[in-house]
Amino acid sequence: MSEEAKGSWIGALGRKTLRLWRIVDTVSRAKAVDTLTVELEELENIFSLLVLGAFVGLPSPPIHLTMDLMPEMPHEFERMIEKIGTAHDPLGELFSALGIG
Amino acid sequence: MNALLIMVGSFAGYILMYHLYGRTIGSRIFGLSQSATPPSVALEDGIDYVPTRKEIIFGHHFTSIAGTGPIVGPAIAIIWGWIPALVWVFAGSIVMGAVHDFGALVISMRNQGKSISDYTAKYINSRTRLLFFLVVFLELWIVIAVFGLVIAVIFAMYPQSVAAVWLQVPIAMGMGYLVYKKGMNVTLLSICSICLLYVFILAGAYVPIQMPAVAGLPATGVWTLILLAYAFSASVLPVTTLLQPRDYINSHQLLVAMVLLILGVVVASLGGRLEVVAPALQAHPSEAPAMMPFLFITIACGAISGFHSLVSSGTSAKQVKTEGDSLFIGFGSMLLEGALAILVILAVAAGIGMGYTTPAGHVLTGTAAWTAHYASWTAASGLGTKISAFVDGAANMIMALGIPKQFTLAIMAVFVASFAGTTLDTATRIQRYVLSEVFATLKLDFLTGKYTATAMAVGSALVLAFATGASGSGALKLWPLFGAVNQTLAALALMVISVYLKTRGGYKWLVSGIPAVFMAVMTLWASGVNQRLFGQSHNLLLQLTNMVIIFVTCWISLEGLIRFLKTGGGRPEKLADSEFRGRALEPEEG
Amino acid sequence: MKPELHFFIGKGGVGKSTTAALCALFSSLAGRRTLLVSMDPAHNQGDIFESRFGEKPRKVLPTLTVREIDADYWMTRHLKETRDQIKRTYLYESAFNLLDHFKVLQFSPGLEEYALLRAFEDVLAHAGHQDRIIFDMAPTAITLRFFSLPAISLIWLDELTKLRSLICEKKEIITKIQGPGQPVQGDRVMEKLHHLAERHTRLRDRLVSQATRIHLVLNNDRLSLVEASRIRKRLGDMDIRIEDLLVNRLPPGQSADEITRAFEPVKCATLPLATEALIGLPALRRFLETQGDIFPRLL
Repeated sequence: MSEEAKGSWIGALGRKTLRLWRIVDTVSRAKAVDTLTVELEELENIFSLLVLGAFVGLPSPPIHLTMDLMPEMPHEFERMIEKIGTAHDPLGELFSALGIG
Repeated sequence: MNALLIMVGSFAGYILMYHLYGRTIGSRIFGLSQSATPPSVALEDGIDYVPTRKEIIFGHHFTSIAGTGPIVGPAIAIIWGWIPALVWVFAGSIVMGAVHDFGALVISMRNQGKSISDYTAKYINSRTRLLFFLVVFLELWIVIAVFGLVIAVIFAMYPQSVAAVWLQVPIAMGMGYLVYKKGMNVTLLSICSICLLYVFILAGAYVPIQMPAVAGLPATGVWTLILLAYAFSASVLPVTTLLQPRDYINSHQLLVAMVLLILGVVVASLGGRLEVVAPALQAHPSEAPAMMPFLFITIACGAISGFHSLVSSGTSAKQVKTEGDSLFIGFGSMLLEGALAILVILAVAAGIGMGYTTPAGHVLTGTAAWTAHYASWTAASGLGTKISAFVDGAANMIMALGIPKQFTLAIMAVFVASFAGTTLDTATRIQRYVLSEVFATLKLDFLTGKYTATAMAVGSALVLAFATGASGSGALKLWPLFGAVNQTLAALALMVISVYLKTRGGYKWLVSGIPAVFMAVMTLWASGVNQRLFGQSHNLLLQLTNMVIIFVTCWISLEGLIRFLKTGGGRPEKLADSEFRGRALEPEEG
Repeated sequence: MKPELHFFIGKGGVGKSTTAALCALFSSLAGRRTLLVSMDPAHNQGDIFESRFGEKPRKVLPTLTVREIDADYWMTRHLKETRDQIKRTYLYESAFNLLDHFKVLQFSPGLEEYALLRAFEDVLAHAGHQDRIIFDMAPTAITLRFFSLPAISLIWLDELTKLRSLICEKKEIITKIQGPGQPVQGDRVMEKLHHLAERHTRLRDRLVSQATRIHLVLNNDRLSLVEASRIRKRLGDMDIRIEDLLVNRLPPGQSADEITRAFEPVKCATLPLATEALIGLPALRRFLETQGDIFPRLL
């Protein structure tokens, strides 16, 4: 094998290894936080329900608090409305969160 | 028959079938299209919907579904011979398991990432909702009991693993504290924790811990009690304290174990020491249930597992970059789990033949070593021998790499016990939730408290575990029950996929319909046989449980069938768009 | 020096507005710069002073200014501000759907007293130069809610802030481990929560401070007594004390001893039934001449 071919072969191998390491690293990091992420999401949902509960028929804080905080919570509002659709399948969410298989 | 040949052959077969069968299913049946816009792109928000590289999703997905299932199942099923086990794992995982996982992922992807259970819930109306919870309760009840027994059995047979498995708890808690509370560098701590774990595993070989019989309870019984107490404590802790870091450490153990196994098979076979010693086919081993239908119930995870259908394809589906990627992720990860199961088969069919030291001190090799474990269903303590066949067999194979046997034994034993341990924790948590839902529905609110519900979850499993005899020999009866419920869920998911495919027109639905019918039939058949067996041994608890399983399987099959017949071809049904999104996403047509 | 605050509260029809007006007049005649604010939707001050008042304060005397709060104006203003903010931060489509839900909010209970609270803040913001501000309050129900609003809001804000801190903590950990999914922004919700807490703490402190006096006006009958006791208890629960009791329109020959006893140790004062209609400045002045000694005690 010529010098350049060998060099480029090693370079390609190096690049592949680096790519593999990056993938492993990303997956590892994702795994390190997967349950935590779900927990965080649930906390945010609870917060949303507390503040924006008026929109889904829950007792709410003094309405002006809801109105004052609402403009800062577009994401939460969206998520809450969507959650109504999935709220009847908490099992699925739980199973996936806790990764039983 | 050379083990390496089997391994290379089946792996090559998987790759081939992925391209042949997988791609056909993808393009012709599900109509995957590169031009379709998956939710990760259409609804991209940087939080949930993030287009991600398929390798990353794959890694995450696979480590989530792999566990103790693909190990225990094949380790038991080898009793019917290595050919049936291998064929079922290979064919089953391709034609049923991968189709099931892949189908669930695609349906989820085409419904904005909503889980398949959402889709299923449309067909399980509120009337049967309680029933569905009952199914899940049964499943978890059996899981907690069986997995508790699995670990107890490992502890009893491999005292060198005890220390390391328990020490994993403080390691995980330490890592959890330092990373999640103190914010220290995660890569550094991961490496430290994992290295520390392996140090303990190796050191454990010198510090075996034997549990004495206590108050008339055999060692396994005592361990089971301790483990269920552990399940209780662990499941009430916050997730970052123990569960999250432990789960994380386990996924690395999985990687290490698989790599070691593959290398072990290669090296040992090339050294000419790894030959299959298990019989090719043994349809009616002594005292064991018949191969037909029990093979299909015993190997669940690894061929097709209903648990996966409950796993909300949610996260993965929200991250898939293109429709084409879903094949790699859904289909591919199931095939990889099949590959793991095949490695297990090799360990218990060939690895065990490399040498086995009986408790009495004799060293057996070849077929004699195999027979010591599989002479009969309940030979030498039932479930224990089957698992030890794997641990010993795998340890043997890895030994070929030059690692001393006492260490390899410890590594493999700790591997199995760790995974089972985390499952105990998570299953208890979910069971707690299921129980509180059931109690709340029955207006028994005083039972819905966190500790009460957990106590009931653990307590009920304890009852089941001891109902089969605390020594673990009876635990083998539980595994088919676990398999039966698991496969019922699998059949249900396949039915749902069939309904979806029916709406795509033509006979596409056969791809999942046939497996669905197969699973339902096998499960009912096996449950019927079990009913007779339990009746003969006068075990009331098991009889009742089995009857409930039969009832549930019939009901679910009926519901699924009715729904299937009602569905006409045409536009695929979509879950109702949340009105919030404004514009409706068009269903993907291939 | 911050102005002294005086609140005249009581059941409708007991003569609250007139008493407040008399008090304000007395204060201004004594040389203090006085602002009389009507928070009562019935807006009797206009009739009493035979004048038209509005949000813009008007001088009746060199040291007496009168302002009438328009609750509707403040409600509408709040709704509009919120709506505009939503339009700014929400995606177009989301905003579109949200505003439909939002329309329902404008009829929520709680908006009226909040409107009064905002008006109250506005009054304070623009009346720094006054020595005394005298509030003719709305009927009891709204008044009690007005007084309790800052405290209740603070309870909610406390809980919400705790939860939000927890959320921020966890987000930080995840970001640290996984790298930021998107550019990290400071938590706007948290900032808002702090801002709101500050505001409501200021309001609550103002309402319970020593420089705030609450005068409960009632008539000499059973119903008045019962209601007044209830008000006292409710305010007591919020650590708001009543400065004194004013038994108004006491017919000649009657004594208010029963009430006085029931309310010990709160000071009690009485005002007799007026001989003429208390309408217009001259009539008010004449009444003050005869009953002058009551008011220094009040102020």
